[in-house]
Amino acid sequence: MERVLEQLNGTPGVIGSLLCDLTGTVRAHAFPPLFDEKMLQETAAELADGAFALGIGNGGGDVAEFRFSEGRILVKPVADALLLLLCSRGVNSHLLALSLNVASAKLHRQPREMQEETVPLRS
Amino acid sequence: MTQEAVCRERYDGFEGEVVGLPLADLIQLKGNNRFTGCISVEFGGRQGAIFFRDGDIIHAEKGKASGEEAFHLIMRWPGGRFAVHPKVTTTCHSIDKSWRHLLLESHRLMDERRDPEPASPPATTGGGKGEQQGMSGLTDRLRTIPEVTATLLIDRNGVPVGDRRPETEVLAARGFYLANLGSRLGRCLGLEEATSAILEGSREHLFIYTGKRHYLAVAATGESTPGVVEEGIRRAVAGARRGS
Repeated sequence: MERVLEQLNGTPGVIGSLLCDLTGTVRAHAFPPLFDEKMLQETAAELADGAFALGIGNGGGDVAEFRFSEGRILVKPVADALLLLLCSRGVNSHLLALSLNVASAKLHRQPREMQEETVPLRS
Repeated sequence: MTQEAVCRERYDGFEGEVVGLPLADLIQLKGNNRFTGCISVEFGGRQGAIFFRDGDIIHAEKGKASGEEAFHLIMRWPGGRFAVHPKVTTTCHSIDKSWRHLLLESHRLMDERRDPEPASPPATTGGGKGEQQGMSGLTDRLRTIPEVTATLLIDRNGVPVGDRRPETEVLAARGFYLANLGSRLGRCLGLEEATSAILEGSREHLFIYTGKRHYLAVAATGESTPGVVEEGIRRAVAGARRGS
């Protein structure tokens, strides 16, 4: 899983990526060290709550994109998990969509492995 | 105290190479440890200084530059030497942003230097009654976009402005929740409020744009292409601005 996230991070403009389950548990992440585990846990918890409320991955939405003055956040449901990408504002959306589709297909192929690898982050 | 003085004087502290321990990691460490003092950095004969107070970065200097500009210039250096001076302080206060925000901004600026920035999104801004009137005119223009099924102005409490039909309350709730989710995720990752958000779905696409006092929500059919709809929104915003 980490390898797929690392490959996603290789897309120009992608700063970090995170995969969490629908309860807000981080399954894997590839973020620079300045994003500590507490930040990522909080992000995953907020994401799971929001995805549930908006029905992301459950008919309510397939992809969510949030734009900020400093960057972008993309959320895509993958199998029974949620994939979040933090990108710079200047990221090429089309290139990102292609990379996201490839990563999504790879992660779809390994849902069992994802479950077995799930290890809660240290608090 | 100037950066030259910091670098000349000897203080109790730690010296090391920036290579091996990235400066960003050192700043994160000092921020988390509520450090008070100064980190002086030297690279290729150039000198810079970053001042902390209780874990917050309050000032930076690099040559004639100071504040955030100096901080970002220092962060661009690919290596060098740093020294930590716990007892050095300053009366200057040129930076108010959190160290997380500053580091993320530095990351973004470095990224943008490698990748030019695209055109800005069609966020609508303004304030008070003028904003509301301007946006009311805008919603009329938006309704002429074929793929658009509904448009709505929402106040900062999630309440639809003017139109209180049940279907508009549903759109207001989803739009408000989407905008808030963006801002909550942004806060977790050191970003500020989301300026816009898109929720692409098979049944419906939802677009939300943040104004100073209102949100603008636009719903479009799930068969439409979000980029095409957004281009229509962009044109409607431009048209409303010209018309107002």
